[in-house]
Amino acid sequence: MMMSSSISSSTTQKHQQHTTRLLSSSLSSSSSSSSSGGFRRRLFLSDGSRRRKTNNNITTTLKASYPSSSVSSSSFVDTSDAENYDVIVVGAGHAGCEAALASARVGARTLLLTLSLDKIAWQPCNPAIGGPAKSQVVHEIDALGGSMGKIADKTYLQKRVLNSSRGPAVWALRAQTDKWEYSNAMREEVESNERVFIREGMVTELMVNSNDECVGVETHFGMQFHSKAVVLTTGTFMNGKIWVGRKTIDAGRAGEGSSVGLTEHLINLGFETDRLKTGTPARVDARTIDYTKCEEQKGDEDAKFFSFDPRNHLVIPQMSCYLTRTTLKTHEIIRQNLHETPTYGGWASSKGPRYCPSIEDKIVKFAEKESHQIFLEPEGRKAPEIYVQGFSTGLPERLQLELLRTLPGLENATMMRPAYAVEYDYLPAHQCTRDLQTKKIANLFFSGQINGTTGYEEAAGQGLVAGANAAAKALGTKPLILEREGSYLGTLIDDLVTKDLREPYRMLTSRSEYRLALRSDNADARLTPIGKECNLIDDERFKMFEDKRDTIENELARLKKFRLKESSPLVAAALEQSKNLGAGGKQSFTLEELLRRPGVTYDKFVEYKRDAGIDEIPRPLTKWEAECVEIRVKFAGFIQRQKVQIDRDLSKHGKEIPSEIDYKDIPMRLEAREKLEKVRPSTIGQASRVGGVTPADINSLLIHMEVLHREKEKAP
Amino acid sequence: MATTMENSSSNNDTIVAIATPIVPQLGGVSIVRISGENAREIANEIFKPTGKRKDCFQSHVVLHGTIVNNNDGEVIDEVLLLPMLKPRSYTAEDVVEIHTHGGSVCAARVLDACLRTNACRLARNGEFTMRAFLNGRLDLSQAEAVHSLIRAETDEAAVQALKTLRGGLSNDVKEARRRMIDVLAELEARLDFDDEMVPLDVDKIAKEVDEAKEVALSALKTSQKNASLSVGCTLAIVGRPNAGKSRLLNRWTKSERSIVTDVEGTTRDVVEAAVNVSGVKVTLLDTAGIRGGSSRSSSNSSNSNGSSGSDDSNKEEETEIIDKVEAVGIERSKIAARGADLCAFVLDASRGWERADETVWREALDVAKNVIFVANKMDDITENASLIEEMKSDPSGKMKPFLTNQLRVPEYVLDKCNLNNVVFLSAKEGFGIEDLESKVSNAFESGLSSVEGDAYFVSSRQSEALKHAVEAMERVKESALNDLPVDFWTIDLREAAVALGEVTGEDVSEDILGTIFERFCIGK
Repeated sequence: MMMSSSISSSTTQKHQQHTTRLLSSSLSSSSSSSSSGGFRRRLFLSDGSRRRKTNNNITTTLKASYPSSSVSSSSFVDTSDAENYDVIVVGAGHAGCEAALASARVGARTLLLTLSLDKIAWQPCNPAIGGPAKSQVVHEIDALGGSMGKIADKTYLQKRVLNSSRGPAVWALRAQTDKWEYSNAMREEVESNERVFIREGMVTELMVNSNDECVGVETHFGMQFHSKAVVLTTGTFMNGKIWVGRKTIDAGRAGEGSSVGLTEHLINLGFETDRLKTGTPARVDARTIDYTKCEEQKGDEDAKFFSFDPRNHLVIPQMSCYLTRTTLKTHEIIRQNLHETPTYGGWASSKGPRYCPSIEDKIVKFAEKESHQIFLEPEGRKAPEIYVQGFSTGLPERLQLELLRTLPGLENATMMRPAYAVEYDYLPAHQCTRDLQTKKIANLFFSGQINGTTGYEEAAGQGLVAGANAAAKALGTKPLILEREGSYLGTLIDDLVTKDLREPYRMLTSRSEYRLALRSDNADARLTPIGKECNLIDDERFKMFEDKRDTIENELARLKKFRLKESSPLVAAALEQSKNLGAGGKQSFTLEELLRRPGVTYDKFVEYKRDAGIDEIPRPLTKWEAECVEIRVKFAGFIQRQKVQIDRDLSKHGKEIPSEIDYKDIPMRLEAREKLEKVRPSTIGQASRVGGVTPADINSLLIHMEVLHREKEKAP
Repeated sequence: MATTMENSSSNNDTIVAIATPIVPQLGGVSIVRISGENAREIANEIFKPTGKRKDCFQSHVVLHGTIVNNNDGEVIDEVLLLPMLKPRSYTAEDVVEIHTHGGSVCAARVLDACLRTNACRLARNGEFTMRAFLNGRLDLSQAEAVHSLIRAETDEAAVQALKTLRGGLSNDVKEARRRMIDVLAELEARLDFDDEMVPLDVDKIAKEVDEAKEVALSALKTSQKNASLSVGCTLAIVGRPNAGKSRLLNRWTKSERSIVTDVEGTTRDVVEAAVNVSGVKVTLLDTAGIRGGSSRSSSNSSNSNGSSGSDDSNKEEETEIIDKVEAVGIERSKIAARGADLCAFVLDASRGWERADETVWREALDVAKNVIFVANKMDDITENASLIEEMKSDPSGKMKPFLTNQLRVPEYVLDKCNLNNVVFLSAKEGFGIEDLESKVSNAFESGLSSVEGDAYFVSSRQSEALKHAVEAMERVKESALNDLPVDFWTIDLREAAVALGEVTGEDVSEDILGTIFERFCIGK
């Protein structure tokens, strides 16, 4: 069957018939050669040049003129049932693994395609999970049934709570992980899932039918895999290029080839792509470090956990990290060799992200600082590799060792891997909607670094959302949409699809305006019910969640009512704890009033458990539950204020914008119109966050929507 | 209490604005309109009805009363209040209209009182009409008109932004905001990069928070000054009947705005006129002469033979006809005197201090903030201009004895005005007016900047934002006092910065991040 006849623009009806047939054939898995006719073929650019712009015309021409591709139909006929899936996930990094697992949890038969089976969930940079803002993301992933928190809880080398002296909204758990153990544990997790199928392969093309729906992928070696939805998680691999000094090599990570061909294919499909850059510092041999010259940094004795499921809480011996500092000599070498660095030598135009400055950047920008902190972090229990945090550099390899040896404790160190920078293709995420599906091609989802983010946690979170939505699309179940107001993940995705980001996006505490409400301790309360609705949470886990939730709520209610006389020993102890405040002339106190006093913790109630009536409740609270109760009592005023703010923002901004809206029809400023046309926000709230859009523009939009609405009502 | 009814509009804030054109001196009535679910709550808070119990708003029933400042109970204006409850209103929301005295001053003050309740915000251009449309009150054919109304704001805002750029206020707002962002960056950098930074110096931060608050506070003061610049300052001319108040106003404005006769009580209402005092518009309020208290206000112009009667109280008792119109006028005078920025107390020097003056002082001026003492009709006392010059050059030696001995002015009056604020003039002959102007100018001095008046619209939005910012900063202080962890401070600091950012149109998150990465050496 010739494609050209069925797709000519005038024969719309025919076109649709064709599509229907195509879909039904792929659904019934009884593939025949005829159904391949709808796939777009790869466009080989005759001049071989990379295209950076979107190009719709070429695809159209391609669609219209390409024959039904008899070349590939033979391989297609040969494919058995085994090559048909509900969802295909491309890439098995942190985004890919969570995507495949989420997809499988929803119930989809899922294929996970990766360049190398041996590098699943690899941590090519710092092997650490969590930290400020990122830890909230990991808790949220766990609350939605994801695996990152669970794996980190099993494979940590060290755990610390950062910001512990601050408020509960910014407490941040950070785990140093064993990168081999982490990778193995995640591989086991994926392999043990009966709905996930893993396979090596380099995807170079997407199969897109004439309805602009993605229906599978094709690999470099000519394999075709069919599915109802595809998730792309390409990381740093699309046209990845590594730099050490002036030397460069095509690679996605050191020692691994890059993925070639897919970017060009995406450009031909009409996507906009761009380049980003990031880097990783050198690794040194632990056996050659003199730690006596460094400051030891131990883990927390009472380690906390990412996962809400206590079955994942594993107490294992911890390792120390060490702190050293740059010296005058370090600074001198760098100053003398600035011309050898890409930025100051002038051969790299693109700058790295602001939060990952190279050591030369730090020394040039903050010339007055005589010394900078450098952290030495183990990468594994058995391996001697030490990550030199804070020391990324664009200097050539021959200078790197000399530089490392200026650090106290590293005078005789040997280097195992040099620092390098990597450049890769990404697709600005305003091309996606909030479910991470692309606007151009239906059933195609993007997540992770391909969306312009950086960080394992950011990638994993997006992977989970994209995977869940790909499966929901394939199976016709409820999609997973996270509100900005309800989670860090929602904030992350909203920022990605709304803002025009031009540097790798990292989750930071200051990016969330609702952080008092979006705490680690309540991530399960915020998200587990949503996860349940989207089939991401099994019954056992949900029962566990309900038990915890009810215990907390019951205890909060009890604390409000339970009243003690001034003469009670518990009251005396609590007043003693907070004596600056005085008793306020009161004769009796509720437990809630006592707990609200500075310095009084729930532990006090446990200590005086008869007084506090703890003997009479069905079961004593766990440490985590007690913490939740304490936070909600102590910071009730602030939490309530933020809740009011969130409710207000939600009611004001929740209004949905019809997808068919044409911004050309709306009288508003040109800048606003262009930006809105590009982002095509789904709600009024999202529209108001688009850069360059004023409140007056939003009002114009509201009026236009009302006009549309009334016209629709008038014409039944 | 707020009425909690579902609202079809997605914008459910309550909005307020002056609904009539803001033209000083023009129009007999100005209307301040409040729309939204807090409208009744706001009215309840600032409106004191005459006689009737409050909180009994019936739709489309007019109430009479006063608007008072909700912090100190100060009377702002006498008004009519018209509630129009949903859906029977222009916007189809609860609407309360407050009809104030005409001219710009009263309406601006009432608007300010509404905003002070924190239950509403200033409406944007065309917003009432937009709500009317969104709530189905206007038909489709009017949509285009609504669009253009809204667009006008953007254009106007651009013009105004240019204007304010030249002024000091915008810089003040920017400075206040910059301070807040700096403190925020200091705090938030530590939340994200704690292990890479030197420990937080909490005392230093607390000090910086205080400083930032001070900057915001001083910007707020400037903005309020600027607001008064554009609508002008007010000066109430107060005195017993026939002390020469209207003649003074006429001489000053060189017009015949007030009817001047030699009959007491000619001015029955407040007359408004404007003069320019060193570049600042001063609205003069000529008030009806105040006699022995509103309840006893009586007499009318025709049957009073008060050419220069020496015993007012007797005459009042003789006259039984109560001129209600005048009584209202006198009541208004008192309100005007209390509400004005400045009062000029006019004494008929030819008669000296009498019981009538005593009464006026007690009724109207005890609570007045700034009083200039004007000894009028000096031409009746002396032909000798040098006498006045002599007194001015030696206030305590010559002026004070003259005032106390010859004019019998009580000590407490002079204490309140102080001798620097005494002016000798003759409205009839026209001398001493310049002296009065310079006293007025001095009195306003502290409250005036050299900035040309920004448009009221813009500056009042800026002061609204600044006010929010200052309040948020107060809460930061409270958090500090309560020993809350520093990240709690950022909640209110951010709110303050967001409020100011709405004026300058800048995004807070990006600015904080920008500042963090610029100022601190962090990141791996």
